Amino acid sequence: MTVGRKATWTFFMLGVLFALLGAVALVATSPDAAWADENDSKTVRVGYYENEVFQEGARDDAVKAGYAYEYYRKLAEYTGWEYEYVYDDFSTLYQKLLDGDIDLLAGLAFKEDRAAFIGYPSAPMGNETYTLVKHDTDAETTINPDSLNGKKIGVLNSAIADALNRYLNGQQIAAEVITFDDYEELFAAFDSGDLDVMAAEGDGAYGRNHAEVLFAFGSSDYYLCTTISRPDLLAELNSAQTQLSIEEPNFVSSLRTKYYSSSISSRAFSVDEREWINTHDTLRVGYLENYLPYSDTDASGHVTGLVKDVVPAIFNNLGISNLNITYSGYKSYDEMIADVRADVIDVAFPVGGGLYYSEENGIYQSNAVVSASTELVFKGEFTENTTSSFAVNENNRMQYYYIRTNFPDAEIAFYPSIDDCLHAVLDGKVSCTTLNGLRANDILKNRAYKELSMRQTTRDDERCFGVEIGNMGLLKLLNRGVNVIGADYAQGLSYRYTEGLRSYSLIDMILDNMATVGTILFALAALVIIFLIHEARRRDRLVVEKEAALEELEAKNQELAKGEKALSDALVAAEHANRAKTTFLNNMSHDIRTPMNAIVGFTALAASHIDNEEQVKDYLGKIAVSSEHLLSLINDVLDMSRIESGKMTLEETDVHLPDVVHDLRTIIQSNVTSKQLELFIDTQDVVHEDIIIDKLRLNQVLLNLLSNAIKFTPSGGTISFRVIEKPSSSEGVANFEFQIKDNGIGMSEEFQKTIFEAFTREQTSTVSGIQGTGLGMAITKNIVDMMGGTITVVSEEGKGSEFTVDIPCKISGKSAKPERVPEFDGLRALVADDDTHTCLSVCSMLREIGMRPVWTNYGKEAVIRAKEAVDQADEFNVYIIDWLMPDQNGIETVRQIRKFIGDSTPIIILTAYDWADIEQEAREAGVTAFCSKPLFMSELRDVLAKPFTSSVDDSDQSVTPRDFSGKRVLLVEDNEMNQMIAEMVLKDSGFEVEIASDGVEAIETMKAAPAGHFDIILMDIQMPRMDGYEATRQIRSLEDAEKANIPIVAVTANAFEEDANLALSVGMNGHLAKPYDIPKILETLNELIP
Amino acid sequence: MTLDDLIAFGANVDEGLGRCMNNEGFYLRLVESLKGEKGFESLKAAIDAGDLDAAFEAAHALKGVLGNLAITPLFEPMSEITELLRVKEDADYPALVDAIMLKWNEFLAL
Repeated sequence: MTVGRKATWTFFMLGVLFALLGAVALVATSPDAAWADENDSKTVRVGYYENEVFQEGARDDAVKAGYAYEYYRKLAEYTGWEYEYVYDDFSTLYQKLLDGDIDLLAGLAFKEDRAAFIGYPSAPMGNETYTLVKHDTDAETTINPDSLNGKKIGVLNSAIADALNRYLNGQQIAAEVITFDDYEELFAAFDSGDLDVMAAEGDGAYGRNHAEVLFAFGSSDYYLCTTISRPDLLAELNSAQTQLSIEEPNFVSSLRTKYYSSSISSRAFSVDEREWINTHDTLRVGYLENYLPYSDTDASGHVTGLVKDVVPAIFNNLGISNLNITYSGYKSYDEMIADVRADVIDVAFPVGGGLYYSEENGIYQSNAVVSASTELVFKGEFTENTTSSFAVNENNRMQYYYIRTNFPDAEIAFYPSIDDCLHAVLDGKVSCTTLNGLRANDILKNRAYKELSMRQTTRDDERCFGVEIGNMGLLKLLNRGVNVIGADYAQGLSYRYTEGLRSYSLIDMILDNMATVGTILFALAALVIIFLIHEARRRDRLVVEKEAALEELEAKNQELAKGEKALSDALVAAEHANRAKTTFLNNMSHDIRTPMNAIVGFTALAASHIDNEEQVKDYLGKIAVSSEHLLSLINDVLDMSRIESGKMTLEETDVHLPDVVHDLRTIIQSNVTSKQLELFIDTQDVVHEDIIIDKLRLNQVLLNLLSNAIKFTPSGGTISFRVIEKPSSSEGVANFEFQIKDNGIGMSEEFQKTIFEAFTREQTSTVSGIQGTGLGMAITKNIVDMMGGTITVVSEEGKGSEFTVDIPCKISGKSAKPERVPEFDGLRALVADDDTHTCLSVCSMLREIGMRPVWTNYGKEAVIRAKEAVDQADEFNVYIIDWLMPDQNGIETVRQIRKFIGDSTPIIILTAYDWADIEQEAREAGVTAFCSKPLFMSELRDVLAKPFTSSVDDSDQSVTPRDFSGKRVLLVEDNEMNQMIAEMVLKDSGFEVEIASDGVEAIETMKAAPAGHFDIILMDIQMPRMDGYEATRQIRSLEDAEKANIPIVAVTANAFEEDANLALSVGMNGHLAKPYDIPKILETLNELIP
Repeated sequence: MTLDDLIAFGANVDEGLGRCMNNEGFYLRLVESLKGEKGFESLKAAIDAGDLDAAFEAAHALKGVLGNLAITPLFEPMSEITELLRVKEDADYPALVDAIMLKWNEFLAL
């Protein structure tokens, strides 16, 4: 397969440009009257550019050849033209044609806009087929044109692109067509996998092993064009082409066969062919006996004849070397055909006699292996009556078919063999018989047939392979193979086997040459002696050579066998992966189509109601929801593929567990509230708050379970999230159990079995009314597995579900050992919360630090107990009150308690919500401090320490300033003044500061810097070109894991909770507000930089 | 311009200085350079043209700078208009901008 193609197509666009230039030239050039003279021969200037196969030898001293060259020569026979060849590259020649500096140029496609500048003859000089090619690993794209929907198809920016667009429009296929200016780029894009499908000329595979031809989608004629200034030449060309088509109608097609037939030899197998190859390791060949040179069984019972060369040659040429070929001989053609149909053999050879009879027999006939004339064999003079009766070998049905087709009126007499047929002719029982052209000469040389004459018939008879109708894969392989080995191959070998046709006995010879026999005998004797001596010497030498050759051959064979084994192993692996991928894609298609349909549908609806603003808004909202769903699906798929390809790694860092839990609460709070669900979060026995884990992934797991709980629990339901530390047997490891429980719709038992597999959902989204990708739980499970943990589920349909995730975590440096604090020893505490779990958990923590807690579920009871304690002079030293309690809210409770206790006793409000809105009211009511739920030990100690050590809010109390020397910050900020301030602050703390003015610059800087160069990024959110969220997303997906996991802190003037959530959701580690709060900045930096 | 001028104008000089590590020269240089800020004109032009998106961008950027330098008399109305523009609330923007421009001219005269 040649890579060089006609350069014409590459220059179509250039052509258009030149055409315009040509128009200018045209004005200056008028037809030259002198050329119009009719001479016997005239010299015509042909633009001759080098192009493999098409037009070769573009130099003065080179031998010219090629499709175009032959075409010029043939034309000269009709026009009497003499040629002057002008050599250059195509584009230069094209310009010369426009300028009238050359007269002819070959290989131009017809373009309407060009017809005004170039002389197009009415007939083309050739035709090019366009083919679509896909990757052989792509199982999704098939010969069904619909499978091209949504594919990326690359095509040369040329006439092929027009043909492709016509085809796609005609088939109503929505594919993404990408045009390329030259083949190099197109091939590169295809090879790299950027393109799903490539449109190209010929079979289009260009020797690519990984390419597979889909189908031809169009074709285009190309022309031998004249310069516009020579209408005389155009007229002569037209008339020559007309003459040529009348006198030699097949000239163009035979030229095409001669030069481009090899294009189907590409190794790009079609689907059928590949299927056959994949399912067969043996090829059973049936052959006709007694039919040399085609086939026979030799004296030792082995196959002989062309068949034993042609079949292996075909498969070797196709690169299919591990096929085991077996042969069985048949005396009778009919039996052989019957066995093809009975699947006893895969292929029969030879078959022939024409398409009609092959259809009757239920077989496909391959391309001709040999096309030979049929010889009529008769005795005496050839007359009209010679063909009146035929002897036919009853074991060679091909002969019968041939005679029935070509001599329908002849009488036919059957004989058991061709010898019997020939004898019948000799004996005058019939007037003639036929012999295949390759056989006739040698058979008739037998002395017995000396009296027979032969005469060639006008019609060739083809000898082909026969396979059962329906076995398309094998048929195509054979056809392809026959073309590859070429028409001459079999004929060239036939002489090897024709010897056997002639039994030229000694008696025959003596009878033939009585006069010279004596002389010959003597000479023969002398020769034999000389020969024997010579031969003996030669043999010695040969033996040594042969042995060496044999060894080499064996070594090569072993190498080959090894290669084959490796290849077949790889094939099996690839096929397996392919199947998995197909299943995956099938499952995906539905999930992707659902939101996509919604988007498409609502877009159309919006377009048709464009004037109704309300309605359009509504549609846009629905489109947005579907888009988000689609995006989350794609994100899940990407996650899943990262997991499956083993690319997902855990980035373990120091994590403060309370942060994780509080962040989660913040994120889900709004959904919980808007769905009117009740959320309980509490902790139990959590001692180790600082652990080492991949925070992002832990978040992902818990968030997924919590979101599911919210999703599958109807309004008014309850969700509880508990974090429990279980005793651990190994040092330095804490076993955490996360329980997420809801009283939602639950799951069937069957579904619980498959919930952790990819693409499962209890019901289709349309049935359950709940959307989801079906990948979430599979991802969750995979992440938990990677963390060395377990995940289990207990669920009952209609009652709810409970997921339990157990993860062993390494404990980081400092451990919050339960320590009794002397100041608290023996002090009393009152805990009021409507959730008993919370009460128990808080009380157990209080006890651990040495306090004596009591608890109640009711606000009113808390007031009574407080009063009672005062009365009993055993006052509580601290109150921990839940904000929201059913009977009486926390603030009111505090207000009432404050009435009879002093101002100095701390009252702490425990809440699962943001307390900013109620802070003022609460402070006025007498609240000392706030704590968010769930309460962790460290937080409890902090909050208790504050009121006891100082009554003033100590948030201004700055930590000892840390020296950040040697640490480097990337400051991403678009405002120069903010840059200056931040830079100053950061430098003052010892940081080195580098600045990027927007998201794009930040990503470039990160890419360019070595990993570990920066310790942290401070990221503004609102920036031109690319905002901070997108920049973070892109940094998080950098290939270098160290770079991708750099701490990123959002710095924004939007101090809203939802912005903080968004920042966390894109993978930021923290959120700072503008204007800069310097202590807060330093605190955050201190936390995030080790 | 001196710190006293700024205090008289109503700026929270302590806060601004604190942000500049109490480097008076640096702080004053930044505040001085604020006078070259083109954002106010952009904000006014955007409001006049009714382009609330452009107005939001301008106001948002100014808010950040003014906040950092603690130029309270400008920062506060800027924060207000920014939040209104963020949600494109139906408000008398020209009046708000006029008030800001009045303060701005006052600042320029310092």
